[in-house]
Amino acid sequence: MPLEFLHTPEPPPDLGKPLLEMVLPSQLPEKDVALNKLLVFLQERRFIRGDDEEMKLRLVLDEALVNAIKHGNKFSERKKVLAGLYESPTHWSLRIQDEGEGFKPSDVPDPDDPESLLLEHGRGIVLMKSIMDDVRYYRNGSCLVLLRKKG
Amino acid sequence: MTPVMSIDPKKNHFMVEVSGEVTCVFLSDARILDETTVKTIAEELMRLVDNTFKIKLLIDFSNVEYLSSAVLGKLVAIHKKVQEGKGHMKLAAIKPAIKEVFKITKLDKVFDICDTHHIAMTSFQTKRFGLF
Repeated sequence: MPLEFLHTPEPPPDLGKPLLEMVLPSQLPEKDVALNKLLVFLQERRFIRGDDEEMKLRLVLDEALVNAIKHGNKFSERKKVLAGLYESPTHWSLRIQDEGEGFKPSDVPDPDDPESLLLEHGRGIVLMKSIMDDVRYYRNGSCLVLLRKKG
Repeated sequence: MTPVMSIDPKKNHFMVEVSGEVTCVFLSDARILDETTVKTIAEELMRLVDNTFKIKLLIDFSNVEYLSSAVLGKLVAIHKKVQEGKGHMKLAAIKPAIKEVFKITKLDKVFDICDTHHIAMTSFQTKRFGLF
């Protein structure tokens, strides 16, 4: 069965109180700086606990930022990535927005198709869905929202 | 285990030890995250596979605490290359959190994963490849 996730042309809704917002150039070394800032912040707020949690979140955030820089903005010097962390009474969420055109859900490999197993790419959404509580794509896929329940 | 060859590629991202017929690769970085490191490791491993006919490749993950999903893609590419060359690849000593990542992505069904280096070595030595 193909992966199920929200994919809509609509802009994202209000995600709650902004905790940290960054604007990044579309370069991979910048991604590592942003990733570390986000993880330190998540640890300080106790949204994530322990090394295993950190490992999984690092994997998910890395995937989200690399996708925005590489596939969304295609490393364009003119395009930026917005990364924001938000808090609502029940969830914390991460919004990663690029200036690309998004993607078609039909282009995402079906993880149950045996042929997908030997692809070199296409595992990101599977990982995000498994590690986060919800994965939603707005603006045709150029704005990713990852949600996690608090506590 | 008696090492007969040792190679330290750029920045020592891994060490190679040849023990009998088995080529053991010990990944040295605790965090395999940035694209340049992933690319360098993959290229070096591809070269190793290219240069060894019917390679018996053991990749030891005991030092690895974190990896990015780009690593998973590269491992698939190396696995395919090993298979093309009629070789065999095993992964060993993977930390539980990383093993879970392999499970989530169903790569635990693609790769031959052994709990320890020793188990992987033993299974290489006892397994017969092909009919002869």
